[in-house]
Amino acid sequence: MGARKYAEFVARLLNSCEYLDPRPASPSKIEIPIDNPLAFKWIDKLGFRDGKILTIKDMAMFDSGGKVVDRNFNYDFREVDSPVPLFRIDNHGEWQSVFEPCHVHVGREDVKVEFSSSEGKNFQYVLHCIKRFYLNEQQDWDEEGEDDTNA
Amino acid sequence: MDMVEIVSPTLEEYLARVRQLSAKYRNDPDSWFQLTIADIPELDDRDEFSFIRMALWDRLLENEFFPKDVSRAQLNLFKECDPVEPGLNPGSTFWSGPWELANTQNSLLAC
Repeated sequence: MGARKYAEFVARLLNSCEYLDPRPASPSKIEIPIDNPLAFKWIDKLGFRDGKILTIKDMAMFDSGGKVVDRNFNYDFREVDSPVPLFRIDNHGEWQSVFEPCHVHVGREDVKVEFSSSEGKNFQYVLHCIKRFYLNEQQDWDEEGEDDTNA
Repeated sequence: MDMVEIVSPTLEEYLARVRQLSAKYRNDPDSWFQLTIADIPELDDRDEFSFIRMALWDRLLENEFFPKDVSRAQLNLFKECDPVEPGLNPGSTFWSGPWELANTQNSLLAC
């Protein structure tokens, strides 16, 4: 979808998210450099219902056809003051091909489940996981671990 | 209220950021092009640098070492160097004579 379309998609998702609390007082800033419109950078923290916080680092490089090529991302969802995440989806803070594995860490930092690639493990997926959390529904990693249902 | 603001910094703004990082971690903003991720222990700064490195590094280097606005006066400096006798710079095809002078000028104008 390309960097700008992904940014617009993020905006639509935020607008429709019912679990944000408090609603951000100012817009979340997404960077798309003038000199490289294929690059995307979003680093922010968002508050969620019942004292939860989502720390976002989502950096991506798109190709000219609008597909994600490389990513460096980390979505960390936890209680505001907790030392451990409720879940954290990341590719270990390094730029990697979207086809390289990414991981979800649950609870204690050393407990993790591997996804076969980071394709589709974007903000939409993270909001989906947050919604499941609030609805007490089963997460992908509650099953057999490996998840290949890339969006 | 819009939930997202898309900002589009210029190359000059990214250069200023990377110079700041170089000043912070190398005590020298001018040697920013030698900065590496290993020099940067702070996570936020690492993220900032890794993004610039991934998305804009080539353009920053090009802008630093091959600026587009090479002035006519700078080109005339090459003329003042002419003639350079072939053989004074063995192995150099860049600085060794009129043919190379013309090529250098063309290269600079093409940037």
